[in-house]
Amino acid sequence: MDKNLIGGSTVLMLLALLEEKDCYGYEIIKELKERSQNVFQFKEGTLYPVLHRMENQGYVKSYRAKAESGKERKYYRITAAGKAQLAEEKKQWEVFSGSVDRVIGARSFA
Amino acid sequence: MEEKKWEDYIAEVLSFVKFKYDHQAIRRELTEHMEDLREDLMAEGMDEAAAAYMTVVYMGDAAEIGKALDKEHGAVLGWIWRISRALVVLLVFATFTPLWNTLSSAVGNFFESYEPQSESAEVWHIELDREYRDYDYTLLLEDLYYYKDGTLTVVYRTKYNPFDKTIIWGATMTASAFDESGEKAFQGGSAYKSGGYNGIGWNNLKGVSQDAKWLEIYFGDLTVTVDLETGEVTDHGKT
Amino acid sequence: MGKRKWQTVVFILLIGLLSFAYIRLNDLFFSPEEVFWSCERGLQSGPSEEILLEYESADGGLILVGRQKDGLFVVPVERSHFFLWKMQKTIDGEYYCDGDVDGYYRSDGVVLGLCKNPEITEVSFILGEWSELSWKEYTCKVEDNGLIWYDTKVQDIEKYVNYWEGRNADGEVIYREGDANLAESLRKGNIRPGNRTVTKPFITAPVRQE
Repeated sequence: MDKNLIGGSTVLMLLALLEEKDCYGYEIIKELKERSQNVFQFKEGTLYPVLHRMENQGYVKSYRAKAESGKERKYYRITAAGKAQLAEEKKQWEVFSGSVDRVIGARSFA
Repeated sequence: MEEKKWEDYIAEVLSFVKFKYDHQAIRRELTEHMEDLREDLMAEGMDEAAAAYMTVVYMGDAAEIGKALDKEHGAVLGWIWRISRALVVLLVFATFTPLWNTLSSAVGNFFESYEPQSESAEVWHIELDREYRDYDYTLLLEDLYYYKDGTLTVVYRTKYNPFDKTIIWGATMTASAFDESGEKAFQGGSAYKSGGYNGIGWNNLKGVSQDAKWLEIYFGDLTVTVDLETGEVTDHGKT
Repeated sequence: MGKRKWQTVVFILLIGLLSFAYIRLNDLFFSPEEVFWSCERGLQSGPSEEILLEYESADGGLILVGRQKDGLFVVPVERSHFFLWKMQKTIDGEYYCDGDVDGYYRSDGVVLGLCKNPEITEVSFILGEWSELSWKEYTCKVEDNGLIWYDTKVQDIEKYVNYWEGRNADGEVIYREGDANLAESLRKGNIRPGNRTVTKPFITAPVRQE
């Protein structure tokens, strides 16, 4: 599954991830790969326009700090506005996935 | 060789980002990502050249990323941000000295107090404690001291708002003592006035006779009369 | 709101605040008239009834002449910071006008005065010099608002107005102030205009230090 991060439900995934801990870009990609059990093959560079847009929208803010490797990386941290947005998108996602489930469920019993 | 490929790739991404003052930060973030990615690919067993090559492939289409980044790094806001920041720096430097002078004099003057103006003994003392307003100045008449050697001192303060429109000249007061017949009953004097927002000042009349009946204090359009026998204060404003 | 947008808002607020502080603490103004009123208030004078005249001075800058109850209030102003105005280093301030006609000589060559008698339509004055080397008589009309403004084109800090004479519409002299004998002598030609070296030993005029 080839995934372009620029569109779709990326923001929801990123916010959910950042709610757990502050991450730098590469860390986010790694986490997403692991969690999707390598189903997602990312165009990794497309992550950054999304992160920068989220920063412009005020959902995240960035700072530079040393990573575990000892190298300095640009970290992103979720803001209060970001948390509110996450809750909103989660709700929408649940409504959406619930509908999908019902559609699929209806078919499987047909 | 591979380094060149990375550079070309990042340069292509950046070629779409019109606000060039953000290029440095984007270049840094992308390079760091690519370094981490190459390291992991090599850890998985790829040789360096292949890992470097695959890194560029994994990053995705430079044009697509560049165009999307350009939207997030708007040149209009970027320039407004840069110019306003430069203006703030300029204004901080330009305003620092006058602002510091104003603040330090306001604080300094607040703690200034009257120093007795005569070596000889104090004969009497009237606490005036009156506040007047003349134009944009506030005049506080604090005390009146009379010393054995004939020195009569009026202690006062002037206040003004350093941020109001008035151009401030040192507002000073003058005073005259009179005897019963209305003749001036003193021989010369001296005055001291500290500058600043809340500066204290005093006016010394020398050779004031014991029989002096009243004192007139002048400040701008204001005249304040003090009856030296009863200590009663009367004032009249603009003539 | 993004970091950059947020910062821009803060910067613009700071610019407003700091410019205000800068302008006020440096006594800068947006118009020459504001400078005038602020000077007058600062010197606890006036307020002037109106600003009678603004003229470009030969010394540079703009001169604002206000009319107070009993005299003039004069402030020279100049441009500053491209579009702002400030007062010049020294200002004339309040000039109390005595009698029906009175005025003074400014070092930019202009004689400024005030005529309080509406019957007087024309005035003459003699411009003298402190070192008493030259004398010259000038005549000019009084403006309807009582203002006297005459550019002598002579710029010399040594000069001063020595004599005033006011005439009504019929040309009769109805007011005199100052050395009337000097005026008579000047008119009779006993003293040549521009030079009075008759009685006094010749004194070299002091050189003006610029």
